[in-house]
Amino acid sequence: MLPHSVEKTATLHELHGRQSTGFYYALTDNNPGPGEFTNLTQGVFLTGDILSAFTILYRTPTSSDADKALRAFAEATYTK
Amino acid sequence: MGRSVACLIVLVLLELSAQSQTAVPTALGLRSEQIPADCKSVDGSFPVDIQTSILWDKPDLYKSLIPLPIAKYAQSFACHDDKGTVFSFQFASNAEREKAGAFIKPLLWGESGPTAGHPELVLEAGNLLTVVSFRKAPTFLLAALQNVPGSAPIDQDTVASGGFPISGHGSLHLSVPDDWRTHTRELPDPPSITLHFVPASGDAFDVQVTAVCWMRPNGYARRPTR
Repeated sequence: MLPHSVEKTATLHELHGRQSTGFYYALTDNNPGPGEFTNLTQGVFLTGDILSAFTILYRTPTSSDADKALRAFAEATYTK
Repeated sequence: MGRSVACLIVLVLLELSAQSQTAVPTALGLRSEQIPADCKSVDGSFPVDIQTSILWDKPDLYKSLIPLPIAKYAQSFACHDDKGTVFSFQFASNAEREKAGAFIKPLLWGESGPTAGHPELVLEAGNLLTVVSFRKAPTFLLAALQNVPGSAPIDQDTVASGGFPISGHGSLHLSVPDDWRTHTRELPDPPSITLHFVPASGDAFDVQVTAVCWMRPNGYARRPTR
């Protein structure tokens, strides 16, 4: 995806919560089509026995919704 | 004679509130203690569109295309300012539920997924298909519904403490905003669930999560292959 991104490198950020740990990176489409999402955050997190991969698409460089999703992933819990 | 009486009872009850469906297995629907604090059980039926209404009232219309459910149950809720009904259909087997689901979803939505005009959500697990007929399905209600044990083995190990169940392997709990619309799909093999979150209105964001059980049944972790 990097060749199609504004960013030249993907910086890994850590997700960390009580039961959850993982990483994510954020990229910006360098040539979005009409109506397409411009921003993407992707990552993985491990919560107990559960490995989750996620993709967040949004339209502005800063998004409270993306922040809420990341917070939910960091604070995820697992019960057997 | 018995059959005639049963048919008569069904016809009469169809005219009553959705709460009054006959032959309700206890596995269908939420018990009072399972209903989220933000919702209360109410009388009446609140299908969001005519497709849901017909599916509920006249499933026989589709009997040449899909298996008929062996039981059904409807429960209506008022959650904040919204009222809706959860229509549950139990099929004879997982395979029958899958066949019915493949027909029912495009029937309700007219597309491959919910739309603004047809926002109902469809939950599928085991032999149970549930149509959550709300304009904006409350997340906490969805979480509660996903912990209703179905009749099929796929759901028998589901925990009852909220969250998104992963076929017999516990539940993942995510605290997303209540006004996000959630669509889920649970797969038995590999044990996993896909979650799709979108705004209640508009298209400001789109969140997709695939959660898979990382542990083998005997307890050791799978190693990633390169």
